[in-house]
Amino acid sequence: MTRHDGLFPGTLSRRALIRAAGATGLGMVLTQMKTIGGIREAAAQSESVATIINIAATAEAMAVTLLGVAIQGAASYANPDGSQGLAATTVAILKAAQSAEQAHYAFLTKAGAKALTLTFNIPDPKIATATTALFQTIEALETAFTAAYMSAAREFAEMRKPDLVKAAVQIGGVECGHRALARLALGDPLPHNLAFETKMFTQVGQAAAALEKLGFIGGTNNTVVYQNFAGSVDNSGMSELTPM
Amino acid sequence: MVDRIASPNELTRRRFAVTAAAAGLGAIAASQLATLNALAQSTESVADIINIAATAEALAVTLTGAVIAGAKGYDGGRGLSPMLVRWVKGIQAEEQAHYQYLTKAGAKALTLTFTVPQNLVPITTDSKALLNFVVAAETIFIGAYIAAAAEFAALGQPALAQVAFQICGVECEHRDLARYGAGAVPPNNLGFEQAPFRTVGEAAAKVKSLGLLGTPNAAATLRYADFASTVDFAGVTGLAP
Repeated sequence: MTRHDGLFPGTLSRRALIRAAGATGLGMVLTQMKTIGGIREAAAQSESVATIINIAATAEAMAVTLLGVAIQGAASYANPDGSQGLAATTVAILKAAQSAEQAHYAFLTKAGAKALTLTFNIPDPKIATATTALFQTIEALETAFTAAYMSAAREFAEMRKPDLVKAAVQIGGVECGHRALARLALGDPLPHNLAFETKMFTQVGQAAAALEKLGFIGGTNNTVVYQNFAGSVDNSGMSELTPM
Repeated sequence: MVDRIASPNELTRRRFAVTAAAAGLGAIAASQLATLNALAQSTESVADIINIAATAEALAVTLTGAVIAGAKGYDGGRGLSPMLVRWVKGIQAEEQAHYQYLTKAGAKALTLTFTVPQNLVPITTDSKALLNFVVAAETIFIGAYIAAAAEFAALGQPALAQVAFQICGVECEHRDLARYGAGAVPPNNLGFEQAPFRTVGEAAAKVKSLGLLGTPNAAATLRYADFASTVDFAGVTGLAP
């Protein structure tokens, strides 16, 4: 079995980043109008819901931004075999992932969420230049995103909000697919190596804290801005950009 | 857009997939077994859900087992690629893990004998038909898991909703990889997973109509017991929630 996240010396930091990304996915929950109304109502009643959706919006914006960096620099990535540039299919997967994250962000903000920041950092410059570092980071982030969505689903269930739970699962499932495809890009012979998705957090806020620790938010190196990438998101081949 | 094709066969496949999805519910973690046992005894709907889930998981283990056993005969004798065989083995192991946890929680499969109807024979010989079937089936599974999570939330069972999420995510991975195997670009084509069912029972009804749980003039009859003992868990982790 290959454990790519173990390849990262700064696993904890990366996991924290992933957590923040996971929070972003929560914003997708808001897509459905009924769901959006439910979230607004819950946010008005509960500080924790407002916190969750704001974190989610932040994480979604971060994901759109980081994926935009990868797509923009796709031709110059260094591959393990010595060649240069990401494969066309790989770029299509990255574009689709960015589209999905942007859909999440759009619906989350429609529900009233406000990203805590739209400026982010790339803590390890290899993420923007080395194929292996990129997909190791994506795997770790998607694992954290999934865990954050999972936590959100449970928190919404505790509030007896089945519509919000449904939306959280709809978003979380998409992140799970991204995780497996990242492992595929890394050459893992068994991209779907889990029988049950991994639980990492008991609260979405824990994921956000991890992201900050990792240096993707509030860092000083390699600053990137959401607005520079949001306008070029490519929705080609995508469907279900809002929840059913 | 493999999973968007709405042919009669695919509708049937999707029903089948629902069953598998329902089976995923059986994956409720060992830590939740006591809760699930209590619910199954006191709430008819929960008992129905986990029994359907166990049936679907057993079905998935059985069908993937048949694919693995017949892997060399696909595509006119060229056989499935080693990559696809490995992936199918991983899927089987994960569904078996779900089945084992479900039955530990008290679920009882409605049947452990399944049939392949004549209209689905191509999934046993043609890799493209197989992968398209997997995509459709996983789409149903995902919808069933989403319904289960919402139902558990309505029942005030957040821990069970979490487990349904944990299973659902695995089915989402299977769907994307099957699309990749089928050559769909992009394989991750959804912004939000589809949620067509309000209840797991709706998914189960679709599975029944596929003819996989018993049908006249079946092309093949398959038994869970013939495949369960040869499940290969190599490389699979997270075998419990």
